[in-house]
Amino acid sequence: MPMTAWRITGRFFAAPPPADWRAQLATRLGQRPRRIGEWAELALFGARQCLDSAGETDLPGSALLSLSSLHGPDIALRAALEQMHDGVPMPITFLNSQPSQALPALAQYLGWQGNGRCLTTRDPLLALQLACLEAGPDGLLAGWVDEDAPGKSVWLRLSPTDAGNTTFETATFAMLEDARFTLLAFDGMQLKLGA
Amino acid sequence: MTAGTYIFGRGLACTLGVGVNACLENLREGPSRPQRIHATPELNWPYYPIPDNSHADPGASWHDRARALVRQVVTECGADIHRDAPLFIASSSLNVGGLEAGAAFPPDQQSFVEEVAAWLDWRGPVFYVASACTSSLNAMLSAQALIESGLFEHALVLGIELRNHYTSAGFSGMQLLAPDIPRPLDRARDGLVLGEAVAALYLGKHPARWRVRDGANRTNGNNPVGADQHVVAQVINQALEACGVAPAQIGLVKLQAAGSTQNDAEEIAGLHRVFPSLPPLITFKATLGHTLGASGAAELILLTACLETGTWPTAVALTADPALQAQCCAAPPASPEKILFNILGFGGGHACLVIEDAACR
Repeated sequence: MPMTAWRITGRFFAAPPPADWRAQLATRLGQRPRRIGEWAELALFGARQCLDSAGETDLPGSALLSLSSLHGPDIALRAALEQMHDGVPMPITFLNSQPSQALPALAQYLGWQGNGRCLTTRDPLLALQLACLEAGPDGLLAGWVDEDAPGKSVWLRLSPTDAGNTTFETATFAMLEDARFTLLAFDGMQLKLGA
Repeated sequence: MTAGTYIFGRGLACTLGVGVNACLENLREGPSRPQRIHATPELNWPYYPIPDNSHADPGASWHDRARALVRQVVTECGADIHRDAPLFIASSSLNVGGLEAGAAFPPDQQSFVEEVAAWLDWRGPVFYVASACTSSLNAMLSAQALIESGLFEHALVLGIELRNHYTSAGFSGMQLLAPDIPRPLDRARDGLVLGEAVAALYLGKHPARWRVRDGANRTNGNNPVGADQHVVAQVINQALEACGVAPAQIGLVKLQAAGSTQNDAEEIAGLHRVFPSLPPLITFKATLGHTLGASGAAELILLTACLETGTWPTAVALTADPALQAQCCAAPPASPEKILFNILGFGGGHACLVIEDAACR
């Protein structure tokens, strides 16, 4: 099977995120995002930074948005379960405990309305490969976000490209942070990176 | 245009029973009535539980019951012979019922997903899809991408939505629940009723009667909890275009229609934007309840089984809402070769599939 190549047009690796990430996000957006939980806010922080690094104001509507998280909005879920001891959880707490609520927040602040999902695998490469298989000509924005300490918000913006005569080398997910690599492909289920 | 994937096997546990044939038998007996789920004496809501009969000890723990149901539906769908295939677990509440029952929080959510895979002795890659009500449909679209890539020949989509108080309490707090029964498209509709389901869809690339041609999924950022008629129309048009199917070729629409005042109206308005004259309509929310992340898989299984056997859900004393200009059909339409399958949900999720029945050609 021939390899489809992807250009890494934007990347943002915050693992852990900087201590002032919320202030940075508020500055970038011109306001503090309202009515979203901390996990969704951390996702938005990384996604916005990644798009900025790609030089894009908005995510194209036909781009795929894939959000992965091993823990999800775990802190909000614990809070919602705690509130149930006294009756029903607060609506905002319940909503913030739903992973899917990150998607409309991302849609709103990335100027995007398209194919988005919350899909997680233990091996982050699997989620990335699946996103590459499902993405169209406008590519994809993929993120891995966890708020539990130490926390992370890691994002990649990929667009399909012709790899030409690029030489690829076998790689790991961690190597995606290395800015020397600008091209990505999968050979079978093996990640390959090139410059 | 994609080749699509085929439904090789189905397994279902829902309020109608455990096993597809048992579900059909109970469906023939008439409309299902919800029971009540009690979080506290003051807080109780209508609910469509899976009946506790053959699948586990009546006193089984939440985890033991979940394991028994999962194993039963996967065995029924026949996927347990290809355990190297990718497994997609689609769920909204995942293991919350177990946590409520006193289980310790696992190290992370994926740990519970992997525990479910271990119940099945699964060896293939395991994916967790948590896109609220559209989870199962998103899982089917992802499974299709993996199969079409040639990396795998089969995939299993497993929708799991099991009893818990947290979801009912959350929906109650948002005033989304009906006080007695769901009344989709009805003039007196006043909310949805939640339900349990464990549903297994075994998908593959080799031809079978039912083909999932393709579909579409869109997230709307303007309303995180409800549907939007413009996005409904967009996602339907996108799905039809992906399949090269014209609106006039659609012989049946499986609606989301859960009984919500606003969402039912938005969905039907979206359909009116696509179809000059609405095709026959059906919803299963008054039959199964709203089974959230499992609903796409559970309702697709029940829909295909109904069409194969001519079994059809009986509406519960519906008084059609004249403002909608839409009613569910009282009997299965004749030979609906191409079916549109809608799921809408939390998170601004709008998803639909185009399903084909080879038996109608």
